[in-house]
Amino acid sequence: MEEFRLDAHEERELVREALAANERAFRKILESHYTLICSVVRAVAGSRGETDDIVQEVFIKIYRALGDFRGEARLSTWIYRIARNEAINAAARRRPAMVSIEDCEELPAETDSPDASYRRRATRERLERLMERLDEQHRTALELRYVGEKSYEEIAEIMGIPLGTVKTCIHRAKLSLKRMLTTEAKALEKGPGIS
Amino acid sequence: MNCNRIEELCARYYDGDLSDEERRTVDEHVAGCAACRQSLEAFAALETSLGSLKEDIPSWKRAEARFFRRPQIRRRRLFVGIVFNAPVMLGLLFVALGLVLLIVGDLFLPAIHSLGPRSASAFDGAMREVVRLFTDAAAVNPIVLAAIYGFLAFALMCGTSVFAFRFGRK
Repeated sequence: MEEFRLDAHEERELVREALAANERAFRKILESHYTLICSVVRAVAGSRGETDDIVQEVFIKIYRALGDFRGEARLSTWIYRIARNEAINAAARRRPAMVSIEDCEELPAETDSPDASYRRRATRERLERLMERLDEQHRTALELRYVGEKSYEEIAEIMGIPLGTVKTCIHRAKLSLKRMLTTEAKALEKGPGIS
Repeated sequence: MNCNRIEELCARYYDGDLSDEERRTVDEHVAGCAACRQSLEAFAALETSLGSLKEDIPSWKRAEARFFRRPQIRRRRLFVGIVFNAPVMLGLLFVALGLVLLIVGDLFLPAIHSLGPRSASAFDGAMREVVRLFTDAAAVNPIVLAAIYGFLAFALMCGTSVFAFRFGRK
């Protein structure tokens, strides 16, 4: 997948072409914002199971609403808002179907399997579950940083918040995660039956 | 500096967000404090885990294919493919040209007459012949004329559609 860095003029041109029924231009818009959309959807609606479906709904929303894009904000900010709203709606609709946080205990511990990729996946899933306990803004900033691979400045622009707030969000989120992981590791060390 | 403050600095350590002085403070502190050293190691592990989160996002190729397979997207692509293609555009150009000649065709006559009496008479003769052919055909059997016209229009539509289906999707 190609990641494009477009300036404001290129973005407006691309939108104009997409509105003139140029499918290639629309495809480029989606592709260049794909990781951003995934990051926001995962941060708002949770990272398990239904990311695929919500991302599709975001694509449709962008497809239908592209004519409303006025170019006053950056395209990434506009798409971020659409993705966030769509993810909030989807999460509200589908929350009962999601797996509860209590299922955390069912996760295999890192020492359960010698297979490295399995362990890595288990660690990632544990981390994702813990991330769900974070504040939405912190989670979004973290997802944009590590999944979307955005710089602090880009995150500030996309989310429409000051640069200092972005840094604080990410550092606090990491501090919370590290503490939660340490607590969990200690609980696991004590063995089953002790929570 | 106390361990709580060091822990906060450790959270920023791998972001490249510390000043040289802060980084030195952390390095010196962890050299003599086992708990903070472990804390820094935990942040390093967290950094690796966070970096692996992107492995979990759905593939772009799959998402793209799924979206562009949707009926409402395909319908629009089909419409675009059928309408915006070379034969249709060429046909529209000829229709537009015909309309222009019909409306302002008289304006061209002086230009033709200026070429000389022989050209003018040849042009007038040809035009009269075309008009006579159509009038005769219509007079003899208007249904035949309508059928010929209908067949030509149908052939043009078929040709356009075939072209659109073959090349319009690309």
